[in-house]
Amino acid sequence: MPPYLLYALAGAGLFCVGFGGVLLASHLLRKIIALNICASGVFLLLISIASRNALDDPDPVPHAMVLTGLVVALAASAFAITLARRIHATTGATALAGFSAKEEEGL
Amino acid sequence: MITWVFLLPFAGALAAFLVGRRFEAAIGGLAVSANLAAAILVAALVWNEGVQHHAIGGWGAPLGIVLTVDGLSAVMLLLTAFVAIGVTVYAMVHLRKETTAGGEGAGEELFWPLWLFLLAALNGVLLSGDIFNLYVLLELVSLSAIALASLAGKPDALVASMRYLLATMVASMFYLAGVALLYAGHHSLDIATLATTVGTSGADRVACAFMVLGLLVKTALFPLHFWLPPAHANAIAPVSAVLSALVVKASFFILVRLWVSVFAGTVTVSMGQLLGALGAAAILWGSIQAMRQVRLKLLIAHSTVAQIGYLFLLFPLITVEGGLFGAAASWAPMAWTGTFFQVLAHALAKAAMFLAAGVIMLALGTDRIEAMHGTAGRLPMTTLALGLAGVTLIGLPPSGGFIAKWLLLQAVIESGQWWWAPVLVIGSLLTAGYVFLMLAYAFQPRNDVPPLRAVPRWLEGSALGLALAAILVSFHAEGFLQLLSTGMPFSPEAHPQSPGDIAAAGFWMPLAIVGSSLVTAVAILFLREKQSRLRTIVNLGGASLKLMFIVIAALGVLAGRTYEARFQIVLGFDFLLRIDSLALLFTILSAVLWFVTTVYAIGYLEGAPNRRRFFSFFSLCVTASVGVALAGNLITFFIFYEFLTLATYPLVVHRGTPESLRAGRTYLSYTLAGGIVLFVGVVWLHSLAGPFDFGETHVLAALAAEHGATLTTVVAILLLGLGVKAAIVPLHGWLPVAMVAPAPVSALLHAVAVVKAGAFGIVRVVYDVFGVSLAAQLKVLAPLAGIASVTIIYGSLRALTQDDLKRRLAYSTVSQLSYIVLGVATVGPIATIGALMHLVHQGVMKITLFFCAGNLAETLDIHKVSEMAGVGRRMPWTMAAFTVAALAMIGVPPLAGFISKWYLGLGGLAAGNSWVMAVLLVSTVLNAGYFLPIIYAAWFKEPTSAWKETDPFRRQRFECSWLLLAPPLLTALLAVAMGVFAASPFSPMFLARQISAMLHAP
Repeated sequence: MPPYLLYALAGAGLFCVGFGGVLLASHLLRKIIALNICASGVFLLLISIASRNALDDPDPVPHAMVLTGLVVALAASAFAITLARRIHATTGATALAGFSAKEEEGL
Repeated sequence: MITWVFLLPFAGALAAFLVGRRFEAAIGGLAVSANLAAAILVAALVWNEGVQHHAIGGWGAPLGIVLTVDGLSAVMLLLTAFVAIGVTVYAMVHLRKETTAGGEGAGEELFWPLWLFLLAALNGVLLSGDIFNLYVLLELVSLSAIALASLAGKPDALVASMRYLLATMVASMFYLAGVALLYAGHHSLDIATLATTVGTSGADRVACAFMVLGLLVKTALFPLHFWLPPAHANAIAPVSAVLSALVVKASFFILVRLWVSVFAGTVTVSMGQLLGALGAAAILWGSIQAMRQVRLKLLIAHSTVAQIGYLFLLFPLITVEGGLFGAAASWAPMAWTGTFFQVLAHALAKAAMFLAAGVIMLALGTDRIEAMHGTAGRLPMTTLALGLAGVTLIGLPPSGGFIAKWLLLQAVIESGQWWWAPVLVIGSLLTAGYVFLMLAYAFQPRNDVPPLRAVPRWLEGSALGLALAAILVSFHAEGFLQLLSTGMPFSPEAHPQSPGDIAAAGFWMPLAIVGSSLVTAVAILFLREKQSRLRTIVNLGGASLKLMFIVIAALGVLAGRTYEARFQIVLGFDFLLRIDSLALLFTILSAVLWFVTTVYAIGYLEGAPNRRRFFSFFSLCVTASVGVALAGNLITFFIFYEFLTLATYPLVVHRGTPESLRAGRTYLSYTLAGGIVLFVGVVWLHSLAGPFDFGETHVLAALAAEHGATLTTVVAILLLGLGVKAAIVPLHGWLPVAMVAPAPVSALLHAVAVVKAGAFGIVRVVYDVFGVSLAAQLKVLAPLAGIASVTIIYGSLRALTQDDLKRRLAYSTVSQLSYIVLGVATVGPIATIGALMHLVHQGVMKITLFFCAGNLAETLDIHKVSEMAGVGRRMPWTMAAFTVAALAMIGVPPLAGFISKWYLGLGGLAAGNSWVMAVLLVSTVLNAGYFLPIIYAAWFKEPTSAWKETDPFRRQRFECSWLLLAPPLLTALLAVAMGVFAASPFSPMFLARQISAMLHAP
């Protein structure tokens, strides 16, 4: 197995773990961390495809994409954490679970 | 050049952030205006020079980022810029208002920077030609949109934003993973480059699935829509408007972009069908959920879920066996333009709806739908905005939504994927359901409503402006369609251009005839409720002016001139108003009776509330019925036919009582359902035959050999749709119920406007669309004659047992209308003369009877036949008119009814259908059975009990107000004259003979 494939598969694994975490975790902070794990999986995938052949120079484009992606992920995480804190401050809740039923009734 | 649409709002966002709250609204206004100017310039550039490319910094693909603007991007840029103006005007006033009101001022200074960032990002998405650049911009869109959604600050809004954020972030990861896979395989991010290399390898398929899935979540396609309703409903009004109108469209735009370029070779027919099926489910699910909501904003948000569903019908229609661009898919351009017209129409209408909901929330302090009682009278501009936006969402003409649904339905029919057609139809019905659910409360006044808070005019104005744009966009459809086709991935069909003969001398006449009552309607709306004298002058002035125009036109037509006004609307279809002799017959009828009924209504409603609304819609109804008369092709006919339905509704529910609202609901459910059936028929017919005008019967005759069975189905559908308004059994249920309306409305509805539009439509379809010989050949006339005969007998039998006078008259109408249908269905020139004459005669006779019924109710509070004993002594003139009209109805010679029945009978005999004679005989006996007892009781019986004089002192000089007395006397005289002088020129018979001779010319 070529080494880049190992990284790529690891990236795919992280992606799945993160995705599962976002769906299954109930605490908001856990969901946000899971989202970051999911993102890390994609970034690892991007890094792995930059250099598939040890003889060539690595491709800079995926690296640029990862850097941009990191910035976006950082901004999103910061915003998500602020939002979670605001929810905790106004309602005392740390999860979304309790709210769904109420909203569906439109009250 | 094209970078300005990104840079201007972006610079505005930074500036707004830096200067703080004092000037940020001004900067916002400036940036949004500059953005509109830039968008117009870019669109003009695309219009003149075709698709534009721009490599940022001079670095082209594969390393640099390429911006691309084709016709689709240009249209979307214009849409975004225009919606942005409306939202910005609203936000400027709204935020000041909310801040001064104390409430939730916390995050509001952040609105302007975030909103301008969002605008910049949205424009960026539309320009981008690179899949990674799209990712970044889409993130910018999502983050600024969610930040805006959370500004409301309430727990509901925060939780909804959180859910929105999590869903959209996971979706982004799916998209980005797809990007990584594509780059791994093809070493490029440029859409144009990828389009040539991406194929059907496993990695490409996975990438396709990942990216499509991510975008579906962001576009909130059912069942991935869970995050949308709470997020859109709990934001502040301008934010809700932007989220629903523009933000979900951005991800849809990317999805379509990728589908037709990068993944054109990857996607499969079953993927297309799957997306279509999800779209169909979204339409149904979203609409049903919308109906169940108790909060206005949640209703509107669920409606977004449904309307997004329509967009996804694009995918099955453009994805066909043999690739996207298969030559077989001639309907693909139609589906493409239809979908993006839906994007336009929905964005404008939905933004208008959310802004209007914001106004209602400010005024009432709540957006519970139940609390909206009587808002129609108190916030007329906002209610109008909601109504117009609703009309667009339902897809009624003349809105942008109509053009969208027209194109989609035509594409569905031409593609043979008929299973989407019921979805479109049911979707429209459900949409009508929730729109009228909303408006029904608004039109229902109540006494115990709390006072409204004052709302600045600008707030109402911005909502109304957007709603009007959603309507007006259809008048410029051809321009948008042409722009949309610039750089379209499908080769657009060449459409035969019909000669637009604007310079012709007869161009203005039809417009003047239709316009005279339209101008009257608008003028009355601008008068104050109290200016009743001025209103009377305007009303009668408009009615006289119309009569004058018609007399001139009539003389011209008899001298052999043609009057024609033609505009191209869409895809080679024309909006055509034309005065031929058949049109003349109906126009004269409606103009004369309008004049008379206006006089009557002025007397009838003296001192009643809401007369401004009444007379305005009354004039609109006449506009619509004259439009129906002058329509020169089926499309124009349909537009006015539906317009008539909508303009009549406020008249039926005029009194606002629960009973009249119920009647209004029944009326709308029957007529709208009929309208949609008619719509399907019209579109189907034109997808077979292309555009054609009335009278060009050879078009369909040429198709008869090949498509005989289909044509039979289509004509059956058309007749079914028209049969609702023509009150053919079993589609007549609305007519007796609608009797709760004020007497002038019943008079006009039953004599001219609504029911005659249906009967006239049947005349047009049989004679001018199919032609008599083809219709006979298709074997639809015999069943039609059968149903008409059943209706004649059934209506008369039901009339016999009604004690309520107006209901008895209504069932009599049901029966009499089918005389016209029977005449049409009986082949032969004599029967045609009978049918056409009865169209006029029945109108004059029945309006007299309704006027008399109104007089009895108004003067003596008599509503029942059993109360009429001896009334002839108290009101001799009214009862004289009633007697003449009733005898004419029965067919006593030499009155009007006799002449038309005579010709109908003779026509039946000439066609070899002697049973027609039997039907006429039986129905005449029944007519006598339900009219003669009334006449006998009124003249010869003693009054059983004292009547309730509404005016006990009898201040009137006559038995009742002369305004109420003159109209029935005049129309009764007409009924006599039309019989006695039937042979003179200008009589209905004279015209009917001429028309019949023309129709049956060899």
